[in-house]
Amino acid sequence: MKRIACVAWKSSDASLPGDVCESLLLACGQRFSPLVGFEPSEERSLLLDLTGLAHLFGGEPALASQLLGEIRGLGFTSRMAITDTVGAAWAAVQFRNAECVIVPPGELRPLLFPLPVEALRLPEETLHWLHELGLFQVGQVESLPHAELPSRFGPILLTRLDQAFGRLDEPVQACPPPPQFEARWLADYPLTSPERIDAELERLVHRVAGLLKHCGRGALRVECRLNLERPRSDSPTPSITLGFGLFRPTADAMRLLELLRLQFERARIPSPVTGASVVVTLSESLETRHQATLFESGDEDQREPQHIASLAERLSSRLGRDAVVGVRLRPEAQPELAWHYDPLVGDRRRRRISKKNEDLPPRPVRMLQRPVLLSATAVAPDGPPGRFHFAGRDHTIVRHWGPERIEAGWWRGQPVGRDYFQVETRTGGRYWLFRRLRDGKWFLHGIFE
Amino acid sequence: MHKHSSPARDLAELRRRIARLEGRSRSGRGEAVSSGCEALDHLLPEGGFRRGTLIEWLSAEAAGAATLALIAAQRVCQQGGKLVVLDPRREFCPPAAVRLGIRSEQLLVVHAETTRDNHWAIDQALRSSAVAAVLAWPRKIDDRTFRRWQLAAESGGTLGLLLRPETARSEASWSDVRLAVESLPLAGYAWLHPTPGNSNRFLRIRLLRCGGSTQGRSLEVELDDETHRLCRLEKQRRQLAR
Repeated sequence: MKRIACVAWKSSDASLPGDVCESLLLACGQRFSPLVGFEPSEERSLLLDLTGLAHLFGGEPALASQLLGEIRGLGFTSRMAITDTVGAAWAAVQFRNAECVIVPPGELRPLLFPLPVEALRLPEETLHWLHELGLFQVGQVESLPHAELPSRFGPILLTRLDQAFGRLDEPVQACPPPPQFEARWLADYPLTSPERIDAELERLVHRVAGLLKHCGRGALRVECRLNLERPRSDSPTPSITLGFGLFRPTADAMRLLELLRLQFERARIPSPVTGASVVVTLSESLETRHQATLFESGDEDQREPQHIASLAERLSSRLGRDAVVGVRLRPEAQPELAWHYDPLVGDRRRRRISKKNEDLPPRPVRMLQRPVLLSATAVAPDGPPGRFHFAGRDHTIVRHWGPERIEAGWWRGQPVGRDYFQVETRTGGRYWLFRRLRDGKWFLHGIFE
Repeated sequence: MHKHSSPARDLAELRRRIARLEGRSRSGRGEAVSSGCEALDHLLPEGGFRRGTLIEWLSAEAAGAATLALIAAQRVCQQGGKLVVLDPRREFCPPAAVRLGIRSEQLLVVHAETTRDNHWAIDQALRSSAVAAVLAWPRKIDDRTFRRWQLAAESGGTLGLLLRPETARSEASWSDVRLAVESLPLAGYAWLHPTPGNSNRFLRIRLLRCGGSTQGRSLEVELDDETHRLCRLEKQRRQLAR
């Protein structure tokens, strides 16, 4: 009996290109199974053939929670199911509203029967016919005489039905594994001295860099795992993962080592180290990047590009990839959405940069993350309030400019209507207030520092 | 004196000698760049801010010091290089900087979670020769960190713009120039602008610390809301009276 896992995922960072997401997931899945691919329908789900593998991870529930945890670590939200077939696993992920569904072997009927026919991965047309005939559940279709199905609904329905119930084999189409750049080391006896561990890491990084150079590729994201001594012989191996990203793909061992050391120096290693691995989780051809830079606008990094790369990498390595960002302005009326932050390291391609710098409306240097509700009432019907309280102080407004009316967001289903005023207080301070049009409430949104 | 001596050159030479005597400009490689305000440049001994040094801006909340610092940053960044903004509070609004003429691709924003990480990031940014200026809001700076930043700025040739609360006035400093910025209520200057829609700001800049005799001097400037130019007020008054 086969065991198949299906994982549906969503990236929390909408700007991350789809192929980058997929290669991250693929690399992640390949740590659990040699047969990993994607379900080819519109919602591309990750598929893993786990036949005979679950016991290596301590059973299916343990495997599932490990896999979900790793995917969460990549910044994705995901749901998964483990069943006997690709079709059933896909159906369970899409139509059972649970983070993790594990269906015991041979129990496909109770899973599939109550699901809607949409769970069979059918074309629109076939679904339409089934609905016309009052067939809404998989169970209803499965109970029909199978011999008649192809002539009435075309061959696809019976194929999908047989695939879901395991009567027709549907193998996981394994994606060609991306070139693997990794190096492992197993200690003869556990090490505690940081210098000794560092020396081993240096050797691993040199090996990985050699592999990268050989293939003409550069690392964009690197992960290093240190395996620690087990507290008891029957407990799982604890480990520490260190990871970092790069501004540009590189195969330079010294650069990789410097970034790894930044992390290693800060890591707390509670018990002796029994082994380590260094894996490149995202790489890119060094040649394509060189070509791409020909067409990039010249204004970026004209002043010593290798220095900005090294600064971005050092900062990101210690502070995290999302903490070191570039700015992209967006044509968006709602002030807090008018720009986007992009991490500087660990991405395949540099995204197009917004050029529009002119005609921006006045904005305060300091914009509060969340507008602060003010207990204030307007003196004049169209003007801002006479005074407001902020940061433990009372402010009396003596002048104001505005309003700048902003109405946006209705296409996102979160309409925003605000009248913004720039106000000056008695002491000369400048603040940015708005009135919410919906209920006339006043908020402080920014400070012209 | 030199063969082709002129008053301006003599003056510059004398300034350099005084600076040497005062122990400033050790490396001498940091060229001066305009602060973005001509009148302020005149008060500064080197005719502007020197690359590779730290500038402190002391002010109360909402007084406009960050805007002045960004105007100075824009001048330095004009010749290339990044502006690194240390924004642990996540309150920096990039469009405000872009409106002042800094290109969005020149901005590099860092969100550090702890003060320690933030101070480390300031040090790293100051040290990088790919960076033209660093903008940060450090509240408390211990003496060692401050000194390290000064050396970092010097080795990277970066201009460090530190925005600080007024209470920092009593603290020791390793900055080259320390300024206090005060926002003047428009009410007193309204007669300069009969048009009600005008939202120009009036600021007083006081030189708390810098080499030379101009220390302690102050000037009043008007910040044009559209052009972001800073004009000295006295001059305007004179023009208006004419």
